[in-house]
Amino acid sequence: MSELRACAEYDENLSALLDGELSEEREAEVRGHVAACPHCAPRLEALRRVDRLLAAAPAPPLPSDLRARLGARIAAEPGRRQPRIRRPRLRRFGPPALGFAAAAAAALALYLGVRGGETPLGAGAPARQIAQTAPAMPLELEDISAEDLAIVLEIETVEDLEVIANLDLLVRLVAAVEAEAG
Amino acid sequence: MDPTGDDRNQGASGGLESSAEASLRVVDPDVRLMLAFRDGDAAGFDSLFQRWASPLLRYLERMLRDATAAEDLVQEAFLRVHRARERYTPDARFSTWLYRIATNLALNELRRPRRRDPHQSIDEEGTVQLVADASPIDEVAHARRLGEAALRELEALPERQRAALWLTAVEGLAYSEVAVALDVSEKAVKALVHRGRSALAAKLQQGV
Ligand SMILES: [Zn+2]
Repeated sequence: MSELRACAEYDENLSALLDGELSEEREAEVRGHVAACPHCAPRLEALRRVDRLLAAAPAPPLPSDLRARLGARIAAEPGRRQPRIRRPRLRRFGPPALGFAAAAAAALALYLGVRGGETPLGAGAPARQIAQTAPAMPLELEDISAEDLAIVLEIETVEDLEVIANLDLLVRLVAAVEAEAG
Repeated sequence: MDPTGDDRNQGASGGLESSAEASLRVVDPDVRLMLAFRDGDAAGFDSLFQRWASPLLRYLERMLRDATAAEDLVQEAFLRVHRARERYTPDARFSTWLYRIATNLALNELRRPRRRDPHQSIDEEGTVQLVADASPIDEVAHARRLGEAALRELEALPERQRAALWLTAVEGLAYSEVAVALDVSEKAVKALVHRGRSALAAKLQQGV
């Protein structure tokens, strides 16, 4: 039957038609056949229905902690021990950027807290108080992990804070933020 | 090509001009975000996660039939994006690259020996469900059950048909993009999509 052979030739193009993958010329040809063919018209509709059903299928909810879990994994990436703050990033913040200063101070305060050691900062405003002075960080400090904070600050891992070349600068920034806060 | 470590993003789409970066930056807002991330803007990465984690999870759940494993691979995929940031050069839409990473991870996961399959009796379940749906009481409930049946049948397809059909019919990727994601030719994508869609149409028609 030549009609069925024609249908077989068109069959794969029915999907391509639905997917908008046919040339203009070929699309017109296929549409012309479908319009006149009692076999291909319902077949095209059946294929279209598959897409509708798949699109309507319930989507799994995204777990609210997935981003935090990813953050922990990023922070746990095998350590590259070189300093991770690159010059372009510092340039982006600009020299007197209080946002960065406060964020860095919060990171350092948290870092010191995480390490459980004596803070070398003396007076030592609570980390949370420092965080509240940081306009760039609308997060409550206690709500985020050290790893996430490190990511926010674009530092690879908390460990990498140890190798920051300009740690002195951070210490001075903490002092400056404290002075402003107190 | 090693599907396990494929976090590169070059060469797959081939033939693009050197101005690809500039034009993709204009065309694809995700490429802009990724380039910003490459250049030090951590918020770019967060935005990409917010935009793509859900569709990626949906895709991976369809591929793996396992919610926990899918969540794990969403993280793994974004971890690779994160790792690749410094050498990122756009040569496709960001989503195409992301789906390529995710597809490689999924296919690799599916090939792991002794992987547990929580839906082993999927065919029987699907058939029973379809028969039970044959006399609908409530149209909305019926439509929902049909959607669920469609998913079960999708999940019973061979993995590349499943991937190609989902990415095309639901996520709206072009055949050329699916070809990149699956590392096959466009011609193969056309065949995979049609075979998968035809199989589902046949299965679902039995149930109506
Ligand atoms: Zn026909």
